[in-house]
Amino acid sequence: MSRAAAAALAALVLLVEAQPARAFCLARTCDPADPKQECELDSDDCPTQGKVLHWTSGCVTFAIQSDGSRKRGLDADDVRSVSERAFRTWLNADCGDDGPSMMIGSLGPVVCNESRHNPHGRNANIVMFRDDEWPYPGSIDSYGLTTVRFNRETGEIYDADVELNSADVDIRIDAAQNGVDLESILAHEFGHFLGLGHAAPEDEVSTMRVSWEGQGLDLRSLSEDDTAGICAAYPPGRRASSSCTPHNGFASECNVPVDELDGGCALSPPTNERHSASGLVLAALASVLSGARRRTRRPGARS
Amino acid sequence: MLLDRRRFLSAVGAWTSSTLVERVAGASLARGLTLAELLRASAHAVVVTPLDARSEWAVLGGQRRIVTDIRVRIEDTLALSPPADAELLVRVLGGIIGTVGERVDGQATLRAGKPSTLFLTPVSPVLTYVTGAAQGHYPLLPDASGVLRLRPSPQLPSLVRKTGIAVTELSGRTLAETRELLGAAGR
Repeated sequence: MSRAAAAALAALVLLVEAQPARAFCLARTCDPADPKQECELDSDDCPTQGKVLHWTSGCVTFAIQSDGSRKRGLDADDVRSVSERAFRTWLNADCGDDGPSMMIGSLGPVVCNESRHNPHGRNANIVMFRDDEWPYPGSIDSYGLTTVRFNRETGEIYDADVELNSADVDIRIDAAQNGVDLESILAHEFGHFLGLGHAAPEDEVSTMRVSWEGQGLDLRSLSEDDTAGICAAYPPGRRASSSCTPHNGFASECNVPVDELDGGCALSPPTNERHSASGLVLAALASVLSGARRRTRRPGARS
Repeated sequence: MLLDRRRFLSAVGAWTSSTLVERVAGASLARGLTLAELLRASAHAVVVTPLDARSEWAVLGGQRRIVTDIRVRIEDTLALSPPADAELLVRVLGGIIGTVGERVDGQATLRAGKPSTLFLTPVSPVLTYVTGAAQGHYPLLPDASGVLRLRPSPQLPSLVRKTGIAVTELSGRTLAETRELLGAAGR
């Protein structure tokens, strides 16, 4: 081997060794919990088979369930404001030339308090509280659960809902000391909403890490690996549609067929009986968050 | 990049009518359970071998969700009371029915023929849930000497509180060590 080749090889080895291990994990269509799929996992227990879960559009909306949390005294409007801040954390990620190619809009509040997807009806991506009982046996002491529904062949996300366990957990707004901080929980859950999985087990700083002290506000700030994850999922310059509507259109109620409300148009006049799609969507116009416009890093961010 | 009004309203009016095959994923943030809490919430602490699985719709808290019932053979009881039967059904959230599927991260990830230690919460004489979801699931893998040791479930929820929790207490233990640890924690 020539001296030049040896030097190049040494440099390559150094370069490889200098690369930090991948700590973010993108969720995939292969489900490790399904014994029949026999998903392969990497050394950090991140699935390596299947398509990466992702929103195909460059704009996604969410809605707050109108009750908020009466038990914890959390008003739906306040929760919406906190949710927007939590989403903005992800959209502010610095991907180099630009932010992630994703915008988030808020719709609502909505009446529906179920996590569901209507394959033949209208939908909403809902943030909802469980004040009376956490409905999942065995899942004791859960803080939150995000359910993401997707096309198993392409990885396209159709719908995502976040359930928060206000029955058992003292969830508060700006809970730096007492209680559990809503924005911190939402920042983590919205990572799942956007298609990210948990970080590597040894990661102790990321918003998507697998262990958290339960106090403080540091989940609100992205780590370098969180940033790398969201930028990998939604790289700047990605070719994507600009549709902000939920799958099959928006509805406030749980089970609305596509041809109900307004004959298939999402811009019908409001009624007294239900939240109209038009009013809510127009209200959301001022609430669209863009990663590209808000590149200023939050104070205290690690990334 | 920010949507202008015309573009936004145009986008809002866009129609997506595809009804492709869908599945569901989820993830959770949960408080890390201590060994004493895990034992207190469980009726059985057993070694099992999964045999087969079947998914079905179930109503949980008024919501219709897919669950997967995994039939397991009881190999050994490490603590608490032994199950009445030699086999049990272990229910986890998620699964596939026809073209529709659901997935909930943080669930136990049992594999057919692969032994695991499970902490179980029964809801009927034959139907159980894994206590604390994946916090109550420990796959058994041989070390370099061929001795089976507990390892953390691969898809743990994000755990609040990282010291003194069952996952860190049990990981790496042999079955004999685990039996002793559970006995001490249960006293």
